[in-house]
Amino acid sequence: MSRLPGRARLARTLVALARHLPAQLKGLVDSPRFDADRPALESFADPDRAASAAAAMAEEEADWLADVLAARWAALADVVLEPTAAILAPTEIWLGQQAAAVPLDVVVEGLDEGWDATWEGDLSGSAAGASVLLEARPPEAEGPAQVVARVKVQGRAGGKRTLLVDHVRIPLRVPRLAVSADRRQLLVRDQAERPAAGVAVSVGATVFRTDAHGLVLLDEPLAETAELRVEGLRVEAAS
Amino acid sequence: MADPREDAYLVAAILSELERVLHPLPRGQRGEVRPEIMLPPPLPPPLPPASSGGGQPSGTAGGGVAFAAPAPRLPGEDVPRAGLSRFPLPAAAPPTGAGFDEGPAPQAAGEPAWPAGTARAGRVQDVAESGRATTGETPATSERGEASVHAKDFPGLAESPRRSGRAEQPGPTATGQAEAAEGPSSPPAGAAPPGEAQPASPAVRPLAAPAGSPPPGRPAILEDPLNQAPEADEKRPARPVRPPRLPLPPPQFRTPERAKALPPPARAGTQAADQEPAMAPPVTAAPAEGGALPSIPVAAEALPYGSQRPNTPPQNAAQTRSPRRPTAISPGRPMAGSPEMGWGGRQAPASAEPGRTFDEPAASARQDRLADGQATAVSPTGPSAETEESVFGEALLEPAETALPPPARRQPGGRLALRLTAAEALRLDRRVKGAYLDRALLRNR
Repeated sequence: MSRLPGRARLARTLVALARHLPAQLKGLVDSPRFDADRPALESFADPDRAASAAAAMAEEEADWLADVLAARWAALADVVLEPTAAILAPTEIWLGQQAAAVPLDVVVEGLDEGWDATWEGDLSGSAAGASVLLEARPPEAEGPAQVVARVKVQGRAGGKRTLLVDHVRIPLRVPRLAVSADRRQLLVRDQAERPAAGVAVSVGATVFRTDAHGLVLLDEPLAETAELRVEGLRVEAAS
Repeated sequence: MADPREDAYLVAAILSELERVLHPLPRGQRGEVRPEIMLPPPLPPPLPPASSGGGQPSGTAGGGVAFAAPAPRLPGEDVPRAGLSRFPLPAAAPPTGAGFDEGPAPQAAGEPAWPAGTARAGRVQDVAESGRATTGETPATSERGEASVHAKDFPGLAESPRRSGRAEQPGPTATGQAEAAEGPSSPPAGAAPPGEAQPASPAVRPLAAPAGSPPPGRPAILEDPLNQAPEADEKRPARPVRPPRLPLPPPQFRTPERAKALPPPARAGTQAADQEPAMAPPVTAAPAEGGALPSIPVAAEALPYGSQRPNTPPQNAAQTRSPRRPTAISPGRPMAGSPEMGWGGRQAPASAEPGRTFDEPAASARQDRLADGQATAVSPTGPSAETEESVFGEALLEPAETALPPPARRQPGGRLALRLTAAEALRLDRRVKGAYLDRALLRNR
């Protein structure tokens, strides 16, 4: 069972398919039957394109598609995956008024034991090892903000020296919550007025999940004394 | 550049198509590929020796091959039923199951499977009842009728291998067979109409070709009447059938005792010699010294040089032997080796006339025919003349019955005029020399 995240798995599988499948099914993939679709396969030999394809999907979708590709490839030939290093990091960081330390981990597959990882970016503390702490500070200005982390893994794969690199860009979001006039609708956005989709909104002891527009519909009007939290961060309701 | 997200799904589609090409079966229907030794199906048991016709108790469609047991011949039955009856008669041969235990059990679609251990006799009974329900007669009668038709119409083919082969083929259903078997008067498929005269047997068909037959030189085709459609038989004129080649008789050595018992051999080359063209140019042989001409057995056939002699099978193994010491027979003298000569050797047969002299008039007549090109192998001494080799052999073994040649015609230079082929001339030369040696030995004694 791979510990790689879904997007990382999908990107890794796409790259491996583009590099090994034509050689495994030589003569079949080259047949005119696949002339129209062959360029799409060959394009994923570029890791950046594979990463962009994975980034265009949700984590669950990428994970599912990675499983499908791996199963179909296994039915045709041996699955040959290349060594990969991926940073396990949250997709976004919701911040309040204070800074937070977010742990980052690196997952390496396909390398022999004894590899070394070197981190770069907005880190706090040590920059070596499989796990580091990322320091996230609230943005000073209204607008988008993000933190960056980069890791280099050096090791050996099949007796050859291998260098694996991965990096993440994590957006920083400061929640803004607005209540409708009838106090039955809650709209959650960030500091850049971007809707907060899929975030947890707690009204007292009740937890709601925002929709794609960052909207939460309540059955009863919001009480005046109710405590509101977005992703665990206490917010003040604005009308 | 297309959307990378769509391209990712396109890669998944490519993999699916490749999987469909390489593995046409769905994943649930795929099994492990395991090598197995394919044993050939068991061969059917050997055919019963007496089975040559009829069929088998194939009462159902698509059944296996079942061989009927040869039923015993009934008293008063004019047709040999061996192999022609599919089902034995209930009275004569109750179905005991013997002979039906070979081959898989025939089973029709929709019919319940035969339970294990069911007697074959019961199956025969079922089939018989099926035939009775259709035709209204007992299956045994129906069977006999069909068999009689076949045997009457084609007695020579009753035991032919083709019929035997038909008997082993899976027949139609019992119902269909019973409908086809209409009784003794209905001809089988392929038989001639009742009004036409049927030859007794292909083996004894007349040699006279009817009108429209191929020329005599063209080989006639012997066809099985069972393979001809009835309408084709009506339209097509009967083709002459070449008589079957008779096997050669066993070699019979012509001993003196046998010569008495056997009639004189038939003249085989008469007709052929009558059709012979002109005679060959004469071959002259040098006369003997002293003017005494030995009498030499000479082949009487006159053939041109290089012509091929009729291929006459040797009737006597001894006749084909080349005599190492020829017998000299002089006209008017006792033959060499005869008791009159007092010289040991072969004893003349009792029927032979010891010391028989040559028939001068007959010899001269034959000489005339030789000169006219009408010479045949007819011997002047009797009807025992045969081909050249046989004549020589007869002369060696049985001098009394040997066709002796006529005296050589003296040519105006004291030469003998004989019409011989080159081989005959060479043989004659050797014989002449041997005869001189024999006479010299006799004189010395």
